Amino acid sequence: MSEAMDASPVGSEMANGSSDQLQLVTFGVGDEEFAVDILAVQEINRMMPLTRVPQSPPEVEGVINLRGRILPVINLRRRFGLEDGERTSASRIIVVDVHNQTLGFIVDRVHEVLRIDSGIVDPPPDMVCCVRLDCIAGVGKLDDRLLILLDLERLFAPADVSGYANMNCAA
Amino acid sequence: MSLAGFDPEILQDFLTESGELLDQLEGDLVSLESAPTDLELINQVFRALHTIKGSASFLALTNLVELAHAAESALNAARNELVTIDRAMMDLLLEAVDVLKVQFDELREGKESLTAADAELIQQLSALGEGKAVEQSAEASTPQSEPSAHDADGAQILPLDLDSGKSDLLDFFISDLESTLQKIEQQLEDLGHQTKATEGFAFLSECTYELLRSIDFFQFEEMRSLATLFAEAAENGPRLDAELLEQVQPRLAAIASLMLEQTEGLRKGHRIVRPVEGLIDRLHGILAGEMPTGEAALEKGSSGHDALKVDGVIQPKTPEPASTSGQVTDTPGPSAEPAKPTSGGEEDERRRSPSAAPEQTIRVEVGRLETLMNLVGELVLQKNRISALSEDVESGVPVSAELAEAFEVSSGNLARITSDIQVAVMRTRMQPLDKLFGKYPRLIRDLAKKTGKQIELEVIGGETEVDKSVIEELGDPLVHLLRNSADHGLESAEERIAAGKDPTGTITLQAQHQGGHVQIQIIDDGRGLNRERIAQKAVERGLVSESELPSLSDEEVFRFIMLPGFSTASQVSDLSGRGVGMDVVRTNIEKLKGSISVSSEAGRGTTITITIPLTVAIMPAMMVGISNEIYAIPLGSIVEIVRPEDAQYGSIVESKVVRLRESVLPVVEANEAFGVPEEKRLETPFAIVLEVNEKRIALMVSEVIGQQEIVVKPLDGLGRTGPLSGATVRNDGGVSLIVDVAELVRQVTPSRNGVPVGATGGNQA
Repeated sequence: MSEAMDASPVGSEMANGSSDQLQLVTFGVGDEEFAVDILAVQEINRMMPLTRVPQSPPEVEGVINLRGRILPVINLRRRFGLEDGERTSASRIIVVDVHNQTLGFIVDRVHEVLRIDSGIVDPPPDMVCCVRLDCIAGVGKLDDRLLILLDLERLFAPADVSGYANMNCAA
Repeated sequence: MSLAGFDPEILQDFLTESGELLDQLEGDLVSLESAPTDLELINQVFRALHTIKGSASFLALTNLVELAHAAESALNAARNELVTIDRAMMDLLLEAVDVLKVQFDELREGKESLTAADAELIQQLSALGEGKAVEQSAEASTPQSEPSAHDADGAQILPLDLDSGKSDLLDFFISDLESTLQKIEQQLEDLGHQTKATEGFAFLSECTYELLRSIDFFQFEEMRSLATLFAEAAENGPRLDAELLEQVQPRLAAIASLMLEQTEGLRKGHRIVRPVEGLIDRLHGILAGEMPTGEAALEKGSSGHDALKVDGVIQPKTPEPASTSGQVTDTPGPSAEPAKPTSGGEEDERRRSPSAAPEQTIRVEVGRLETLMNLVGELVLQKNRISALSEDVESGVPVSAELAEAFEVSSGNLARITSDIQVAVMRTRMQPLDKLFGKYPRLIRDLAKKTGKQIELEVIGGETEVDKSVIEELGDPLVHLLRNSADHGLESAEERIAAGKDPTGTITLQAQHQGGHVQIQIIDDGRGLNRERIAQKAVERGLVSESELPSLSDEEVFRFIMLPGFSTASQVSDLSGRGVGMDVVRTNIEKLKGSISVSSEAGRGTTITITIPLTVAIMPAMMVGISNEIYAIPLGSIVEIVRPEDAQYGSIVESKVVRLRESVLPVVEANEAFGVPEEKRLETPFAIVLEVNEKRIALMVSEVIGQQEIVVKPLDGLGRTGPLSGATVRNDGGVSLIVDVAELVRQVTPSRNGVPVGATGGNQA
């Protein structure tokens, strides 16, 4: 089921990144393109059966069985306050380690593993689309598109990890 | 002092290992009090302290070492029969253990500087170490003067006279000497075995060489004559036969203990002169091949202390009446350091900070790991077999009868191996209950002291093994229950005599396996619970009506004491108020999926029975379908499963109920409780009758799938959830949530006002 980094066009050359280079996993939620540091990402999986958890916070989609471990899965669309989208064959669950808790989040599609120069990343503007400032680590300007770098630590802040009720990140 | 330079792992090891020793120490000390002459026990305690001290000094934990050292020297004096172990001494030693525990807790919390023990405590212990018994008089300690006198058993104590250049170095010498002597003491145990003797003697010779050089420098004549004997023994020892070795070994141990005594003396600034000539001559003779005869011949396995007596180094003391607190009768006035009275019991209580954090590591018998290793080996073989078979299948060969059979055999083997592995892994988590029970004699001792009652604790079945998590959760409830028994259950000696009972009350702590459960009982032979008083209180609190009372069994009445804040104690003591905190006990036991029951007989005593499943990680569960979701319900909480007819449903004050035989149960629609979108509504749904603490509810589900052994996994990182205690992976790979029955029942039956829901239902189970 796991197809770790299958979208990577960069391949093996990305093994040694210098400090000026950022290695990012980019993915789409809604119309926007987001990116997270590759080091935070454990693996990327195709959608798998989810078990709904009664009375859990709304953005918790459910739990999955990842090789015997039970992990919570967050619906990033709901986290960002977007309408629930259609699950397609492109939907993925990105598994990350945040605050010593392994969790997964659902994205609409995973694009690629990208190596960019940290110079092209600007500090976040006041407001980008629907996601509030404090969850954004920066904005990367590529030739024809804009990449929103997410700060996972803040996106899934400890207050959230132990209770998503406090949604300071969502619009 | 700083721990900065140390590997955290080393510290962790120290905490684990020495922590265990400390626990054991406490239990042993209490047993020692009732058997003060048990030399083996003294040695055991001594070794434990010694090990703790050794490891602590490696980590440069000065305060800890100082205290351990003082306690050790006091015990050493007891070992050499310089003092007798009495209650006062035991109070001191236990106080020392308490301070050590505080220091351990501080280490666990990562503090770098540890609380130092009272100078007074250390002084008193050291005084014991010099053979001065603890005095009960409240006299303040007089200024210390240079002692010059005879000790109790014939030792002469002289002031130490050194020029300043040498006294500066003395501290180094002392610590050096101590560590060398400790090494030698350890080595000496090996000398008894001829096979290891050669090595042992070589080591001895090495150590002694260093020792002699330092001794020469300081010109300590008493020590030199002793150390020279070591050198001679090291030289001649390897040539001796087993019989002679047996005579040499205790004498060398005697020398080592004499030298340790000297070192102690040096620390305090005096020299100790003992008549060692007899020992020296005897040892010379033996080393020359002369077998000692008559009284001089030591029996096999004699200790250093025996040798000291036989060779006339210490004079056998005339036995004294047991009532005297001390043994030193001829301590001259000016030189005495009268010990201060021991501190009161309240302080002990206060010092005993909340029980230590659960340890992060676990010790596992190597044998168990080996079993596991072997099983894993088998597992790998089986896996290979199955891969080979599946290749056959893939290659397109039509599935023949043989192939099918081979698959069946393999999967059968796999099933056996996995269940064996499951058991083996569980066994690595098993720990004897003694780890907990070992702490309680001390608790009871303190409680007895505080309440002024005579209490005896009998521990049965401490070797019963339970899961590590059970040990962790069970600690507090048991302490609570034991306190209750001691404080409220047992009567005072006078009351007991008046009632024609043995003045000493007995509390029995008993553990045993019972099928897949462990049963732990706390039995006291005290006054028993007062049904009338509990019933009256229950009526006052509106838990039950006056008219219902007669129909309740004793057991049902006693159960009320488990409710939060339910106390019948007319006066609240600082120890416990029967009932207060019983709620905590119940909560912890529930967490372990266990149950608790109370039985009591007026005037005869009370028995509290706790039943806990052997392990909480794997449990039998009933898989049920709620619309199109599958949930697991722990089998232990299921009383029965029925399909009630429509006529059996009814309602009381807008709540739906179902009537089953004699009882009326509140109905919980699983769809609603778990927010499952209702897809199919069965004409006659299944009612799963659940019971927690005598409260019953009927949970309506749409499907009963079957019973399964489930592996419980934690449900982390979700924040809030419904009444769920975990999750498990089904055999199809999907995740099912486990229903937290206790929580569900609590949600449904929030109070006991009005209809005592499910509580008074008949007992059909």
